[in-house]
Amino acid sequence: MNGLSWIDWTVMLGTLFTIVAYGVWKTRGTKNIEGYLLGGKESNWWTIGLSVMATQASAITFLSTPGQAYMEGMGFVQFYFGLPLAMIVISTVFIPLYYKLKVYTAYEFLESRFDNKTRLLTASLFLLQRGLAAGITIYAPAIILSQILSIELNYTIFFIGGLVIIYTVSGGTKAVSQTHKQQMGVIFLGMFIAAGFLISYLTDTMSFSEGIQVAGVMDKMEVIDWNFDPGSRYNIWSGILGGFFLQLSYFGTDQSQVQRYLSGSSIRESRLGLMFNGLLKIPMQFFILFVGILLFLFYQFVMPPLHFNAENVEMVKQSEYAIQYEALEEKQQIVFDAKKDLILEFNENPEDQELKSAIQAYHVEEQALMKDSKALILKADPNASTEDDDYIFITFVTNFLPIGLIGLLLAVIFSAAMSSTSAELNALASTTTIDIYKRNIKQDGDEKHYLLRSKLFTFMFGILAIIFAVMADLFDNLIEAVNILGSLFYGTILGVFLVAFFFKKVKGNAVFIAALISQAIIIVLYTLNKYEYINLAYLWYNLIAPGLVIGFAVLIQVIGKEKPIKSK
Amino acid sequence: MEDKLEEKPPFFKEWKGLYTFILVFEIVLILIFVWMTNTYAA
Repeated sequence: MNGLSWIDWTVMLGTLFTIVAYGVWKTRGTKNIEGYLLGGKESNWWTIGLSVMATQASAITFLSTPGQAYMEGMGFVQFYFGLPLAMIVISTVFIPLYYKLKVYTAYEFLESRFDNKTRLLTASLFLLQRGLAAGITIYAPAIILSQILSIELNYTIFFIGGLVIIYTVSGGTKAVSQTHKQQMGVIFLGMFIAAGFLISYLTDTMSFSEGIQVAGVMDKMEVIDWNFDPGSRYNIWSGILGGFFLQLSYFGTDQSQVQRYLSGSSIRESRLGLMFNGLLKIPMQFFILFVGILLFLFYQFVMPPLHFNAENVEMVKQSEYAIQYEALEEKQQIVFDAKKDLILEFNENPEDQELKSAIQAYHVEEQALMKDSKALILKADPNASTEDDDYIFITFVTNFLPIGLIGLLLAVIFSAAMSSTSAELNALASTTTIDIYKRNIKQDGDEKHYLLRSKLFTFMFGILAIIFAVMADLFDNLIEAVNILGSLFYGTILGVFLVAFFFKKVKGNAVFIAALISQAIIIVLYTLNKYEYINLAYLWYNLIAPGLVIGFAVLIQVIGKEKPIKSK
Repeated sequence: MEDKLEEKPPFFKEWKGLYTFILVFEIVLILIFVWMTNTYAA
């Protein structure tokens, strides 16, 4: 990519600044804490639905997901199979209780049910997990966008973080919800246009249905995997069971999502917002993955790069391994040409099994060449990151879409980064203000005091996220550590909430101790898995952890015969 | 607040109807995915 045209810059910056300006203008003059943290409880169902979807869809969703389908096929969609049922459970069990108790945060509910220490434990786990994750939400797309736009990484981080801070500090939850609508509009528009271009490129050579058949020959169309294998990342069982508990935990107990639907003007609007998500999420993920399949088909007729991260390619070509790398590229060209001819032939004779096998063999050879290219990159720079899935979609956008649309698609990625970050900052500030500051530090403040503190906390978390994103580049394993930390806490937090909802006789001490024991066991399981003593995909932790919390809490309650603990 | 609990969803007489619709919709989607896998996967 040799720089962006001024038209693309104008479209991208114009789109982003318009959304920010609209968010600030539309939500100016918030005067009280309810207005700031719950958006004045005025949101209608479709605002909530779009906001819930925008919060979950980070920039990495749009960078990674097509790349994942390109490399591994459509199987990832199974990850979302538990979501509709989770939406129904939250709608029937969680929302009525949150409304009844008029809570600002999910953790506030736990004090009504148990005690302050359980509330503090879950709020702290959330703050730790989301506080660190907010930095990664900015960092992960910034590293790709900075390379594509040829801008210093830190400037990209400051740009995303700065814009988010402006409207989130200014307008709170209402600004987050309002901007989510515009951001989702830009995201859908951009993705539909990209898919439209890919389909039109494909249909120049073959029909849509023939294209899917070709993708199927190269193992990209295995949407459903029926094998019950606890070690496989995505199959229908882990998607429905593990996915259900993960989504229940995320949407039911993660404040960045709870805050979205608590801003509803009534229970009805909140419920409908979640139903909107339950209905559209699987088709939306399917569509984003399918863009990856269309990309894969596009690159069957247009020679793809051997490695999609152009910075790595440039680096290896300036190293002592340049000749070996170029030799791999030459081999790739030969394989590509032969495979392309066979695909065209197969299109005329789709029943020919020999042709099918030959295409598969070339596909395997091409994948082996890609693997070899990564090995060479690592030889040239042992610290290089060779994962290039995230660069596949953006490489197509910047090289093959017309001027103007490139700017729009870059705005899609920035919008997605901003939408999830703003919800995180908003939720972090709410939890700090309500569960920590107002409950444990200063209980006698007035509306103005808490409003100012909420704004201050939003600003502080924004700055922290930026600092963390800048630091993430300095420590190789930081991102992995944060992601693991997040996925390991979810199940335990959900377990505490499930005990609260369904085990009325279990009291605060029992659930608190059960949560600590369960979290320790989950960390042990994770460690055993990491060192290959067991083989357990991470989705299953979300099922095991709540089971452990419930089991231990009931056991401790029965054995200890704990007396009820008075709240507050 | 209790009154609002009783509010009905659009197009359905009660929430159970909407929930059933969403689950049936998901089952139909999964069946389509099964068909795609059986038809197109190698």
